Amino acid sequence: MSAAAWAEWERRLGAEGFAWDAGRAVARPGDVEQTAAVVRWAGEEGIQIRVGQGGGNLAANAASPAAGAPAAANGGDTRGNGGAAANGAGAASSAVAAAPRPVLRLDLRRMRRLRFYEPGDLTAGWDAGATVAEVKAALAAHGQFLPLDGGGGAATLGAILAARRSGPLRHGFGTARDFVIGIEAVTAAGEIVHGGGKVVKNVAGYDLMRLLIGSAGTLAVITGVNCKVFPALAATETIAFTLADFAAAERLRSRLLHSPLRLIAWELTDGTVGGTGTGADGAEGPAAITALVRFQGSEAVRARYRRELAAIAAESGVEARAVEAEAEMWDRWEAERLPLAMGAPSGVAVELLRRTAEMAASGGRSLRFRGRLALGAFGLALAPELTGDARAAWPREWRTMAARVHGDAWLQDEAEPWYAAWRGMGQGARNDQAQGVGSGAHGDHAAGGRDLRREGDWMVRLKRHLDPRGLFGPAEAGA
Amino acid sequence: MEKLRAIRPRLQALLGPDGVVADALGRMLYEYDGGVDRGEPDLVVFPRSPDEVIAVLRLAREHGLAIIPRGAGTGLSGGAVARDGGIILSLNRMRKILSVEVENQRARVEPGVVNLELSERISGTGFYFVPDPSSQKACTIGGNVAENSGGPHTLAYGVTVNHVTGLEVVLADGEVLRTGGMAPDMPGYDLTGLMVGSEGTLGVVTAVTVKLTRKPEAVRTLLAIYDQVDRAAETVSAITAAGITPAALEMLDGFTLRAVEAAVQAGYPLDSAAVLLIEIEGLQEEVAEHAAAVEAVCRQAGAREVRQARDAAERGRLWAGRKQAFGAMGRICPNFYVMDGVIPRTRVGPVLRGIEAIGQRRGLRIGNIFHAGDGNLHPLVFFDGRQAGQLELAREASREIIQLCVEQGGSITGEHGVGMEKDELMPLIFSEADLDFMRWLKQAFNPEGRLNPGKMLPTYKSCRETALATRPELGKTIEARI
Repeated sequence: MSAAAWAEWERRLGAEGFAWDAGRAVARPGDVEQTAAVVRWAGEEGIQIRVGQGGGNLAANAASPAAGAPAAANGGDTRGNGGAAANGAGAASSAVAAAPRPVLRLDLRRMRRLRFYEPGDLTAGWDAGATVAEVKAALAAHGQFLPLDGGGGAATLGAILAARRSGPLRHGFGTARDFVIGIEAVTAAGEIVHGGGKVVKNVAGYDLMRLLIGSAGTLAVITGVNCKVFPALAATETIAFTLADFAAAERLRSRLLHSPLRLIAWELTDGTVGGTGTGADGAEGPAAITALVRFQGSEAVRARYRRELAAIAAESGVEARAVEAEAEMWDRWEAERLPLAMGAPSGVAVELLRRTAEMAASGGRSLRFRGRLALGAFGLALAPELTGDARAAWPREWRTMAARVHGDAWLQDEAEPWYAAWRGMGQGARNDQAQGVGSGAHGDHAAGGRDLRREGDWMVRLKRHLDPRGLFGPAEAGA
Repeated sequence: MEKLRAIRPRLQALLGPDGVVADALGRMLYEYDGGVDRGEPDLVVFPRSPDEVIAVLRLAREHGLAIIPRGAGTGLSGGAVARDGGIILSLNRMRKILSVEVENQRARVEPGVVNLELSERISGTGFYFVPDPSSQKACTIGGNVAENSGGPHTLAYGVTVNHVTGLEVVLADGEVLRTGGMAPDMPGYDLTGLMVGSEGTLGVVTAVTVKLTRKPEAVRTLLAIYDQVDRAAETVSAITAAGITPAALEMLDGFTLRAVEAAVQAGYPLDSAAVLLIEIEGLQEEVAEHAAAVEAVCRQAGAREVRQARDAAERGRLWAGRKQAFGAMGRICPNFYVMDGVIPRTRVGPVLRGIEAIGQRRGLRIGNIFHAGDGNLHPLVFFDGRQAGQLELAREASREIIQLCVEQGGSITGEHGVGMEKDELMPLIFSEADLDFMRWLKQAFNPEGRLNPGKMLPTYKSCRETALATRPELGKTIEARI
């Protein structure tokens, strides 16, 4: 698109509302009406919209500009070349077919208003451009908080929600899908729509909150959210368990699962990520697998946790120690973004991690990981990182391997096109190839000869239904 | 009629003679659910397997007939009522617990499994299924999914959608879609979350993957007794403000508790104006502290007395009063209409006064028994359905109550669903653009509109105007929604 054509956009949106950023056109609407106007104009002019100041609209990247996906990483995306920027890391931009379609970035950071706050009802609403730091500050003034620990303080609410990023507190408090009670969004038709409301319990209408959270900006632009907020954490403590191997990690997981303890975070890491200090305190050799559990309460309550956890450690023959300056450690916990994400039923997740580490080792690499042990959701990285064809092949190999562990296991690689994980998810689970651990899941409802639609195909279909012109993000999903 | 004559023998061949109800008397039994709406189905069918559900849906499509999925029929918004004829598809015979996987914290069940049955079946494992609607002894998990049902303990643990991770759904054309699964946080759009609470308008659920939750170590139940309703209402926000989230926080007003007490003998004092039933769960130490803190808050807010249940039996009695309340109401009036509305927790007092005024103005008795902790009101509007015009009067009062909830920033339903009871009230909280988007979303899954037609979304575009014409001030409320 010519500079002259973009000049018209500058005129429409004004100096505040339009900018060039590293050679890319960026719209910065000041409110939801202006956002809707931008979407309508873009639709009329055949321009594609990518939401998020960081550039990429892929789930993994949209959330956290502070954590490894800065705008500059989208080096391939310049004016007039819309296809290249689906991935913040830029590693596999070729995976998205390049279409000569102009791209307009949508940066909502001017929209950061606190829309309402009722501390007595534990509810509050913001524009989607409000940052995590702003949200935290507003709530802290009333002794309340939101468990937004999946990105840095500069990440916007909209980005966190689009990517459905969450951190360790997801264990105790759920994801945004659990605490967002109302949503405002601009559809591909440029209409402003709402779901939910301002109250903590509400089942009127389809759950647009759940639909749009985690949709990576591909169905609509989230412009405002209402949340159920929580009383601030009481005094917290964290205990780290040093584990000899995956088998020890699995034993600890199962033991804790059956205990009455109500932890607020429960992580497992290989020790090189997450800032546990395990690998950084001068110890020789690879850092040990470490489980960290966090709890809150009065001194009497925390004493009970300490006692129980010490007993469990003794019984399991593992070393447990209190983590010093734990709040600071948790603040740093998600600072390093890991390029891969995996999930599996909690009872098989550790086994899958073990096999993943084996798979990495057979290629001469080590597996780094960090994630929610009790839930079975982890971030992963290979060291050294894979590149090129090997990188592109790895998720496929993983999915084949994982399907033998459990049909519902999934992997998302931020270097893949945005829809690949959905399609990949279909491979194991929907073909019912699952054997071995946990394969009983499908029971007598196994596919048989039925016409079984794959969920990933349905997602693509829904994308086309709600955004037929492919206005939001890469439109090549149906390929 | 032609369509029915054609499809009936084919359904009978498919499902056997006892799998199809076609006679007038049999169909009459399926005119109702737990609410006040009614509609006569053309046929009622009882498939036993997903394959039979698929076959029924294909036949219905071929013959152009509507399908109304139904669980136990305990719903309160007319969701399982055949509003305009069609085939009621009862999932009651699909009641197998397919798998229980404690280490994965999941179970997979057929839709006809009764809510409480699952928790009872796995009780030896130390885990349970959290959602606990008052009808949990009868209602099915499939029905819970359709309506996104709640219950007293959703205050701390969320409604059904927070406890469902995967579904098997048969779509309108008979194809099967599996969403989510046993793993957490699956990538992509949350089709599971979209299906839950879609009131049978997007597909027929044939299997549900649910979360299992570890039972709490300790539970303590308190009964706070008040001489003034306002004081009880103030306690609700005071507990919230104190940063304590009880597992349940229920309120019964004087009229209701007396009616309950006469039937159930739960131990509620007959001379009180209101009681709060408060439950605290967690580690023993935590529960002891929170119970003491809650008791102090109650007393400070003006409770006359706070009792703590001494044992499981006493706890059971206190809860029996709450859970069997609706049944007890039959003793005092031939009919009652159970409303469902939501308000911010800070407005409980003023809204209860508003409800009383509405009752007085219309000459109707209205009781209140509800989930105060999350602002989910259940006014009970008493009427005598044998007298002409009484049902209509009750409906009008109910509509006025819902409007009051909306004016206070609330919602038209917290857990019963919209169904055919409130589809016309949707414009009170959603704009025409919101509703159009939802209609378009429905179109993706249910293009011919044959799945549970006439539910949730208003059929007539004029209804917003109708609502605004009766209460012009609501326009502002709608604009200020979000």
